[in-house]
Amino acid sequence: MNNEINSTPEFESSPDTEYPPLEGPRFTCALGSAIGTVLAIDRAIPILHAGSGCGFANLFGYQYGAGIQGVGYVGGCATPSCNLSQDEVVFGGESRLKEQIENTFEIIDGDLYVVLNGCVPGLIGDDVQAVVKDVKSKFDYPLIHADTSGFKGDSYVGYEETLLAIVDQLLPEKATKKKGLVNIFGVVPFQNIFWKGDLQEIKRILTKLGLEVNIIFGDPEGLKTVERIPEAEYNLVFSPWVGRKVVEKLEEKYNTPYLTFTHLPIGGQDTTAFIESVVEKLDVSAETLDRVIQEESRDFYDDVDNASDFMIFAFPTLPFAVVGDTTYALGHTRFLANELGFIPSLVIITDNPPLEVRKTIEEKLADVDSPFKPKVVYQQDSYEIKQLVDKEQIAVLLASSKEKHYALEKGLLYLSISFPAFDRVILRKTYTGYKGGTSFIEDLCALCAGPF
Amino acid sequence: MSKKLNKDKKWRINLDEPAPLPKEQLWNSTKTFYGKASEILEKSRKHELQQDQDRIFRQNAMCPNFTSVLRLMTIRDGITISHAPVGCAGYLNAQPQLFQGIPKELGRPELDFHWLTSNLRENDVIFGGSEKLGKTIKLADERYKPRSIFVLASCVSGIIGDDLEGLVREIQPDTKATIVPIHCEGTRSRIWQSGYDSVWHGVLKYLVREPKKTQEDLVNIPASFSLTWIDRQELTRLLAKLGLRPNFVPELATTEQLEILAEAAVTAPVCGSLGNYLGYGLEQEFDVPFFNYPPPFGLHNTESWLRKIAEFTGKENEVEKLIEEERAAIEPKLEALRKEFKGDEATVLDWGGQARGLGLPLLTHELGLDVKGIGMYEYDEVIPEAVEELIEKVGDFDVVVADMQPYELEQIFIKHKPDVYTTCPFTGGHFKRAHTAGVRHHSFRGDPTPNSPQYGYIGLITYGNFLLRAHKHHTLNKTLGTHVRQPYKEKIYRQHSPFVKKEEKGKITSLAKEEGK
Repeated sequence: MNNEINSTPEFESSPDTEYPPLEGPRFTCALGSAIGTVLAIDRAIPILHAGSGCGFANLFGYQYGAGIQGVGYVGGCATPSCNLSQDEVVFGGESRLKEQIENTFEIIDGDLYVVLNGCVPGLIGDDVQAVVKDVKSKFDYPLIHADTSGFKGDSYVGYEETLLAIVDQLLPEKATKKKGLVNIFGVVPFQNIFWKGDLQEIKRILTKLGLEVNIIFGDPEGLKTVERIPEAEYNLVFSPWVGRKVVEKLEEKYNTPYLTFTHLPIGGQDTTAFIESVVEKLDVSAETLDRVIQEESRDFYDDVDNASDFMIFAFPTLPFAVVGDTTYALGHTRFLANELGFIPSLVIITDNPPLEVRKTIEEKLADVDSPFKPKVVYQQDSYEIKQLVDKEQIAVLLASSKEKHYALEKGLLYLSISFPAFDRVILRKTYTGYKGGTSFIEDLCALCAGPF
Repeated sequence: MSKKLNKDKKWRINLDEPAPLPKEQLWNSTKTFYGKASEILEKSRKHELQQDQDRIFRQNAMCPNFTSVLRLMTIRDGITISHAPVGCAGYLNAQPQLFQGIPKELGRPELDFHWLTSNLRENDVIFGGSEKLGKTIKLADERYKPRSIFVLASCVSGIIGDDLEGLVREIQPDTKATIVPIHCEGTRSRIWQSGYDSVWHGVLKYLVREPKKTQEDLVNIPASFSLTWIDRQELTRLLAKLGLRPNFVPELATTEQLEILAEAAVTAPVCGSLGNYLGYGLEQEFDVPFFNYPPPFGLHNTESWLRKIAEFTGKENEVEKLIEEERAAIEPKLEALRKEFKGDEATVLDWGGQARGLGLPLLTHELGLDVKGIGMYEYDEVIPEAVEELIEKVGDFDVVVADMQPYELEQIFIKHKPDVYTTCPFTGGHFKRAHTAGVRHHSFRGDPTPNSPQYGYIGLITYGNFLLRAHKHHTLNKTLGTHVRQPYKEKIYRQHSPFVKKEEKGKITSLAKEEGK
């Protein structure tokens, strides 16, 4: 077992400038993620200025990859799309786009319309912004545009570009602050497979502290939540880097400060630490804080108590590995190592965080409450990931469904916790927070539960 | 490769070209029609089918690239490479889950699928992606030593002009696997089924070898991904009774199964829009006999399918015996089903690919259910006889050809209010608002459960029971119909005909009026 932290990134190429060929990458393109981001805002309608397959390929590859999440209100084949083909490649797609937007207004009932362009317009040079401006001058619908050509980047870029478009084109120049209101960023719908449940658990906990929590995605208030963004007293970002551009922009435009958390907390320890750090900045009475921590911890540790009969029997200090994006990789590694007695062996981080935040990530893994420190590797290539997992002496693997079958063949306990998860249906499930900690314990035990 | 230009063949495939013609040019395919079956028949005979350029509101569907991804993702000893930005082929990540549900006892082979992407980014669209693709191919070849590597072109690789053939010529000598470029650029065709042709074009051009001998008992079955594991077993069982063996391609096939396609006695597709190109190609280039209709759904069609195969394999006597035995075996079950449906004025609306569009109406008719309308994702001019035969047997019915356009389908739905409605769940969610028995159209490739078959004799009974249950009990649909929000504006909802067309916009006869006349 490896007992020292490997802090040298094994992903050698500079993450900002060079993108190597990849085997089975665990993210989608900018467009795919932008579609998911818009769909996650209630009654927001994506209008794709893209090929006919872009939405569909992302329904199958991205939304179904996030725990078979269904088409919902206007996803899947219901999503309006210009369905660009050879004609538009030759003659340009601007008139098609204009026609499509106008007819979408007429047919699809929405509160916010977001034109998202794919690779084709990016390559043939359509002036999408001009078309949007023109249509906008004639209709009274909220309409914005995000340039999300697939080749522009990955899931994280699509999420940020969509939010930046909202900030730039939809939100007013000035806003009155509302004390105690916080926005939540950094949880990318679908890329974070438990996005809805995660956001709702964060909202539940912070609401209990007396704060007003604007999660934007997965909130039935849709456009209203978007319009509330500038009023926030603080922005909370649950990633050392995803969403950073958005909160920086909001700081610049509205003077809203932001707090960054490396990961979504799981279980008692990290969740309590998280809310303690929130109340350092936001006005919550010590009394309320104590009450919330006490109530939540009592419930959570009661659950741990009840699970412990089985856990002590089934999980005798087992070594484990986690494969996933920064937020889930950190959250799970810390929860299993710090609270449940598992030994952290290997952490593979798959979202290619920029070099400047890697030290922060590694610190969070180096300070686990164990003499055994995990090996940390940044890797996006599925072949390399399998080689790394194969080498490790582990008993439990928390990863994506790409790892599932070889994990089971090796006799490992396996659970899908990161994208893609084609082997489970995720609706409001979360492993975040106190409730998520309980839920995770249940799912982990279910892998091998049985009578003694 | 021998080039036997068969003059009396209507459909000519040119393997000297890097890519096939798109379906709208090759088979005069359309995805824009609304009317009676008799009208589409007449129009297709007069070559008057329209393309969809005038559709002014569209919802997304598939594209040739995604179709090719679906077809090629499970070649057992092949690697799929997406020469594109990452989003095009993300579904390949589902590879490990596709067939793992099949118990080993049911014959699941060892599976080890992988895919790579050249991961095209901003720099690549400026400087070209060929070099990166070369690296990707090398990586795949070294890592897995596959028999074949399928390179899927994309909108981006097409528009930036990457020369796939040039690259293949350059690197094939140093690559162990056979590299097969597939020209399935998303913008190649408005009809995503063109991706099927692109796949077969690559297979015919790069993999199929000159036959050393004919394997008299081998039947090529280009199989759609809706052919479930139990369907495969049923078709295998029936062919085995005739002393024949199926060669199911491309799903879960080995590269060798593709290489020996020209050695088969006959090509017998289960779906025309999927199998035509391969069938005509094998016939034209290697004299492998081919028929494209019917698919083996329902009693009549299954038997016609078997008889056609028998005709090409000299099993005419055996097939009659087989049919007699199989009929006798299912007769009581079939009668029981017919009794259940009898007196029930249930109507069916059926929505799917061309094979089911033209196959299921007869199947349901055999069970005693009226088909009010069918929806097809695409219709081509290849099989007018099939439509004619269908009308003769079940009467005229409404046909809509629309590429998964759920808004258009809502209109059809409102008009017909069918009792039973069969659909693909991902086609935009209209089944949710149906307030009626909406059931899945078919299951998928890796489904090993007893409810999954639809083909052959077993499929007829299973699917019949499935429809019966759906017709009698549909609380999920009630739940959805009552509680699910719909995205279409109510004022618009009933105004247009299914297609919102340029020339008709604003002066469309409402469906309500149409119903009243």
